[in-house]
Amino acid sequence: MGLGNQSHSSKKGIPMKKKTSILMRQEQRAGIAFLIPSLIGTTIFIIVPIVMSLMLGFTQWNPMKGFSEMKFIGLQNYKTLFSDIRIQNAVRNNLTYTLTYVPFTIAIALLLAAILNRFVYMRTTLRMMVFLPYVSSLVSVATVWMVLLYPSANGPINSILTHVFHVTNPPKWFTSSDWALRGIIMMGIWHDLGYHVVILLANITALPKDVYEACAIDGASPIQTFFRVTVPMLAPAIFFCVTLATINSFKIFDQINIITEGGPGFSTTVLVQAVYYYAFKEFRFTYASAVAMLLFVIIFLFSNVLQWIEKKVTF
Amino acid sequence: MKKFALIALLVAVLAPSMIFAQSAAETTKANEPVVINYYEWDMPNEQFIADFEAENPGIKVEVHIIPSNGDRATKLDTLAMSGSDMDVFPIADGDQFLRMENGLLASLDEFIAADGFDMNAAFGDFAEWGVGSDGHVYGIPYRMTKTVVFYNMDMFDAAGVAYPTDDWTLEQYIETARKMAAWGKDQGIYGTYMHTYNNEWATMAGQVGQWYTADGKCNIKDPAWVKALEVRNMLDSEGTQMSFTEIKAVKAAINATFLAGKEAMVTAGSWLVRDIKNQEKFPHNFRIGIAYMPRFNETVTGNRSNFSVSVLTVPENSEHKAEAWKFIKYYTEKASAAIAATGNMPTYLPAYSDPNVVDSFASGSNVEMQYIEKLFAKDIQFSTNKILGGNGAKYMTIIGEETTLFFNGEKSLEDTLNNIEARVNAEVLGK
Repeated sequence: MGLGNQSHSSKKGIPMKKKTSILMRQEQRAGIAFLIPSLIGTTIFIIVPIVMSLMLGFTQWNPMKGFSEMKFIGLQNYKTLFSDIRIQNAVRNNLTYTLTYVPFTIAIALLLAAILNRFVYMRTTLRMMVFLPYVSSLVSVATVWMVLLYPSANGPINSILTHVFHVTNPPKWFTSSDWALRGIIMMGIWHDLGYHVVILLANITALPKDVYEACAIDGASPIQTFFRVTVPMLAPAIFFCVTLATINSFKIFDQINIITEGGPGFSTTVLVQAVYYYAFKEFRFTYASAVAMLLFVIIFLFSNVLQWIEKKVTF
Repeated sequence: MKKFALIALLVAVLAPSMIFAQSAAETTKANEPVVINYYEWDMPNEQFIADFEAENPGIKVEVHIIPSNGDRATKLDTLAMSGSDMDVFPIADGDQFLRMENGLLASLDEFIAADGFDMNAAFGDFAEWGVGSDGHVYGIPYRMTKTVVFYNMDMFDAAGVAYPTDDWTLEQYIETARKMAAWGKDQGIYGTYMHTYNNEWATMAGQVGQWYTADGKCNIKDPAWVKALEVRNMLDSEGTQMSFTEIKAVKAAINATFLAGKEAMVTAGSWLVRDIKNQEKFPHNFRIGIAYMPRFNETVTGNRSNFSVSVLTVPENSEHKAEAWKFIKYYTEKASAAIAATGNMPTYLPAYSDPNVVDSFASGSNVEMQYIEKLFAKDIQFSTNKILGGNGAKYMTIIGEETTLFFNGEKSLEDTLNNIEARVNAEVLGK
């Protein structure tokens, strides 16, 4: 018996169709009522700030001088973005970071997840060890990495490079404009790897076993099985990780602010840091809003392209 | 109907009681003192606040201590802009000018005029650190830092090197630093130390250098600035002082390294006396001497010091500006000894004649009085490495961004100067 049974009538003679629609309306109202708190929260804390930021980007305004001082300046802030050396460097650094960090992180996470799924003893302990950096405070992690990548030959990493690999001129890492971003990327990969390993591992363990049995019967090697069975079946999870890592990579700020503050020069300046700089160091809030919108558009584009690719390549 | 009658009865009974309760609350509020909130990161002994409250029973001061880290200015700016309860807060190192330009601070002209407060008699040349480009007073100088050379007398004695004299020159400073570095080389001790603050390399060159040309353009190619940049780079690269790169890498601090005996001398603000007093945090047992800053060249005369003034300000959003002004005025006029006791130099000039102020400043430090008195001498010739005015902060930021690459050895001096000149003219001065 279901709501779709419309030929029956109730004892009081009210047609079931009418009663059903009343029930449905009540359920709809209840549903809307449950949604209202989160809708209000989303509107106040997400939609309104985004719309305000969008609007502010087209204005020149000092918030200390009231709304009457707000001046509409069209696309002026956005035009300035293109000639701003800080923004040019920030966009380049953000793209470099994302295009390096995301593939390396996901590839290593996938490999580790596959290894942890099959070939190791003390799997639980190892999983925990891989996940540990992700739950560590970024401030602590940044401090440890600053020590590890100490720029002189006495630094732990540079000692290894010098004495084991006979590197004569080891990198100056965070104090060199050539190496600072690479150091940040390495640290970022190390810190976030565990999160993606856990997601991919959970998905690998949920894959159907009979497919692997069929592969074994057909004589597929472990490498063939990994690339032709595991990876395709994991595609939705991999895309989830890629999308998440991409969005997070564009929002990078904490570790850079702690370690290099965007320097040396602009070598590690990123867009979020530029937003912070213009808003809180120069009090140019409307220009900072324009930079924030640029970041929003870049993340939006990347997310959509990734979704489009996902639809094309997954089952 | 019954329900409606019951509600009407309840409203009729409760409404008058609420009105009376409201007026009672207002009566109580009217009798309560006005609370002003004072935010600070380096708080003197609070006895002067108790004295102020006793003299002004209508005002109560709530003190809020914030951590003295790199984000302190952002925290205070956010409080000032967001319409918080903050009524009084300090701004240091020339950061005040950008805040004045952006309307964060309330003009104090009206209160100064009403009280007939003579800014010039109170603060002399320090007063300009509280004046905006529009001529209004937005900040009241209350403490300052005077940059001098602190040196480890025990190390100088052990090395057999003569103590710095008060009329020494930059060349003598370099020579002394090299001698001390040669002596300390095997012990990991540097000859001197110059921190990485923006424009710290310019503390001596500031005696003669000009930041702007006569027609208002960037003047970073002034021979004084060029020489100062070369000197820092030279001392870094020859190992006479801890290099810029190393200071950044280990996040070294002036107080921690000097008081740990890592260098023979250091160019530092008078605030170092505050940390010299703090044996618990910076334990040390060597004697410390103080010399004036070296003269940049022979044309410079007198006992020299680099200086920077901190001001007390009132946010534009404060609802208690008059009370805040009263507190600031009392603070600067009456609390100089308390400020001095923290190891900071007060800016209220009449207080310099008060022996209590000098004693408070010296008390607890192992620096002999003859050196402490140098900081309070009335004949010091001041210059500043800071770029004052509304454009100063951005000008200094650009210099910092560009010179980092020069000090790291990644860019030539010529390219560095060209970049600074081009960027300052375009981004700051619009030329």
